Amino acid sequence: MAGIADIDRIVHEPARLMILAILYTVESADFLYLQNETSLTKGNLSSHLSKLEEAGYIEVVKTYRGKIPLTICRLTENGRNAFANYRKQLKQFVDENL
Amino acid sequence: MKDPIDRAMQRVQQYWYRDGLFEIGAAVIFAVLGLYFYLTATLPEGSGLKSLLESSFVLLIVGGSFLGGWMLRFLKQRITYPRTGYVSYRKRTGKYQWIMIILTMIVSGITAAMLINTPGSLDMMPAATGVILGIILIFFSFRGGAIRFLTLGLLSILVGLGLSMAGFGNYLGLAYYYFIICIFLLLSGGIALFNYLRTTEPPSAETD
Repeated sequence: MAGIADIDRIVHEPARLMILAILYTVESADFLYLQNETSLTKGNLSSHLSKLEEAGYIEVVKTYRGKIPLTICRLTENGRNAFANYRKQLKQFVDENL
Repeated sequence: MKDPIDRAMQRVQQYWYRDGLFEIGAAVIFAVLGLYFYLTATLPEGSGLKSLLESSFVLLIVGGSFLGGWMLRFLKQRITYPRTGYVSYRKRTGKYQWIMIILTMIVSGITAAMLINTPGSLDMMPAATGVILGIILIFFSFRGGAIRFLTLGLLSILVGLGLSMAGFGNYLGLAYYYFIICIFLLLSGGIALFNYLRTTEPPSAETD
């Protein structure tokens, strides 16, 4: 249990894990894409993005596409490492215990 | 078996192909190639235009690839991104891009040299082209998971082999190959685009 006890709980939350998995695959993605892929409400997604940004795992850039506001999200180096470590930890735990 | 995280990551890679625009863009390039080979087949020997066409094959491939990429990005900005969101994929390193450009030029150059200097090889060109492009399409299907690329890949191999075996070699056979695959690409891309537009909401002016 020791291996799983110190798992990163910021990453471990299912909605945030999905957000990080999506961003890990790309350079960046906008709010609309993340909302469609995660099926979260706007408020819920904003809340999770704020938590990830506070943890230093993503950076959020607000810009415009023409006159329409656009929110672009991308993983930071810390976020990329945190997601990769999380997957490694989980895989190790499963391999050792199941 | 893929876990939910792997499936989510695969869906992100599939997103590029979801709207069918990739196939529609490829169909335009194939139509241009079909026209190129048709003109090369039908223009009289020794004509200035035919010599110009034969010597500009490499430029056509490289230029066509850049133009196709630009056109695809342009259409996605107007159709896809406002509907289902914007994604920027991780770029390959500069070294990888240069390797791909150089490889494309080498393959195009060898193909052009072979076409000009070895007339007998022309009979198998539709088959060779069909197999090479078929393998590339099948590779895309495994990478992106879109079943329709597997179908297109198999069709490419069948059409290429069929044309060569039926005696349609030479530039004319290649022209027929590119025109036929162009039609299949348009159908595939058109159906995908229709389904995409039908199943997604039109863009709204709401803010994030």
